[in-house]
Amino acid sequence: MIARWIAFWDEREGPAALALVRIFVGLAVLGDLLQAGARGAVSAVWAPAPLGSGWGQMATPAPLVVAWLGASVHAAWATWWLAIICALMLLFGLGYRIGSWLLVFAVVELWRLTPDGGDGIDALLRIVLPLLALSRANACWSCDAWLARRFARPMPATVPAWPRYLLVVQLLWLYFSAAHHRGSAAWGPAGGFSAVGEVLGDPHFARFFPGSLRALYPLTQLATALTMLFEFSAPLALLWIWLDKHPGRGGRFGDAVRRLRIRWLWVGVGISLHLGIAVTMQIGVFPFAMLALYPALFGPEEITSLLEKLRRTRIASSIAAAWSPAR
Amino acid sequence: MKQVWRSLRAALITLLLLLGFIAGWPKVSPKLLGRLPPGLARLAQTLPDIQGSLLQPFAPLADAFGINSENWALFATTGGIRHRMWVEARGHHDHTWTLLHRAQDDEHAYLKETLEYRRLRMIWNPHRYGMATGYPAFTRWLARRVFEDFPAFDRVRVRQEQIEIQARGAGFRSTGAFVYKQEYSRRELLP
Repeated sequence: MIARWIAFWDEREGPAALALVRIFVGLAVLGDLLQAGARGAVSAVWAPAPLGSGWGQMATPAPLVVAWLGASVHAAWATWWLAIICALMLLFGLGYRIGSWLLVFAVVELWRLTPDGGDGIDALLRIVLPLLALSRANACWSCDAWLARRFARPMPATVPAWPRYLLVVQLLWLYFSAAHHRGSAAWGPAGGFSAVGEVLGDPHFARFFPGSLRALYPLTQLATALTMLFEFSAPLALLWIWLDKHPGRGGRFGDAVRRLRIRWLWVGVGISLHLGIAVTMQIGVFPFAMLALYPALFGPEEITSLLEKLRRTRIASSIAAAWSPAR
Repeated sequence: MKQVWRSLRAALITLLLLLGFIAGWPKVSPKLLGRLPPGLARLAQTLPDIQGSLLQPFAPLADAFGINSENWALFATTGGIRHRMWVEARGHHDHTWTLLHRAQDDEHAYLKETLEYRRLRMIWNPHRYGMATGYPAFTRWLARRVFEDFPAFDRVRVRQEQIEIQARGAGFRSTGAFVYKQEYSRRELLP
């Protein structure tokens, strides 16, 4: 049993899934930080009062950037710039080890400057980024991989799978935890599945003026019910993944799960819910950063096969060719 | 050597999973606590202490990465009484306040792009346990910004209108009450 447990965490696989997570997470982090810059919010969020909303500068011990640069607007901007540069390094897989650990440092420091200037997605990224930094997510579709080939020292064809497994566990736990924290009746039949409709009535979060989507209320009820079903069933996704990975296992139940494509259905519901959130609510990068982790739910061979199918379509052929895992 | 490393890595991952599981024990709200059977309620009350002592030795490491918890209470409560932020200002001789910004009001949309950036919204949007610690710092920054942009104004106030979410997607209704009011004078912020 212990030997099998050790062997499980020692598994290796192709780098495609982790590389896609790296690229999407890099895009999400970069997009969010650039938005702060474009909206004129960098000082407002991270500079110390009264020049901004930061209060972590007064903490003991002070954040490292404050110890080095002082409690100033410059410290806020310097940390933001460091995060931008490192997010670019993560996205392009350039100087990956250094860039990804520096990004971990930068996002933690930004959090320390303004501890309440963030939400669940920031807390999740502070867990995800160190896992990515420990992985070999730069082994394909990266500048590092390209440079390694140029110098005749190509990256390994397989990388440790455990960072992806941990990302999957983290993602599924987040959903399950969110579900069992929803004590409000509005999330269940007793409250008429009214929760999503109520969020859309909150002027601080609704993208459209509250009440303007009243005709779609039944749809919001369906979305509420689907959200709870999706999140409560998250632990089962481990079973769906395992059954899909082992085609001969699970007996008739396993066959039915594979035939009905339950895992794909579950993932499809998740994507739809996050896209629905992105369209109807103003909560920033949350839905996109969550979706950035979804490639971890697939084996690298599934991702390469999906890209292969993409390659066969005429429109996408040029894009897919550029994205060949061999590159 | 490689075998030792494989075993050590598996042990570390097991520890990580175990700590994550402990950190994710659900927090039970006082409201829910009252509805639980006595035995379960007692257990729910003792869990946070056990959780705290089990996680204590690893707290410095978790803190270094800014990892607070594995509890993910996302939109745990909705509806009921919510809030709508108002930003107002007035000149020295004015008797009335001028509305500069109000959430979901395109006619009063001063600094809309900045204020609606999600990280700032997290600071000014009251959550179920009250207001963010950074709210006073945020309002001071905002008032200062108003004084810089509008030399005619002498006072700024930021407050939250209490609203009630209506049933069946009908939007919201004002209760007429305001909370979390912060008011500043020009002299106070730009001496």
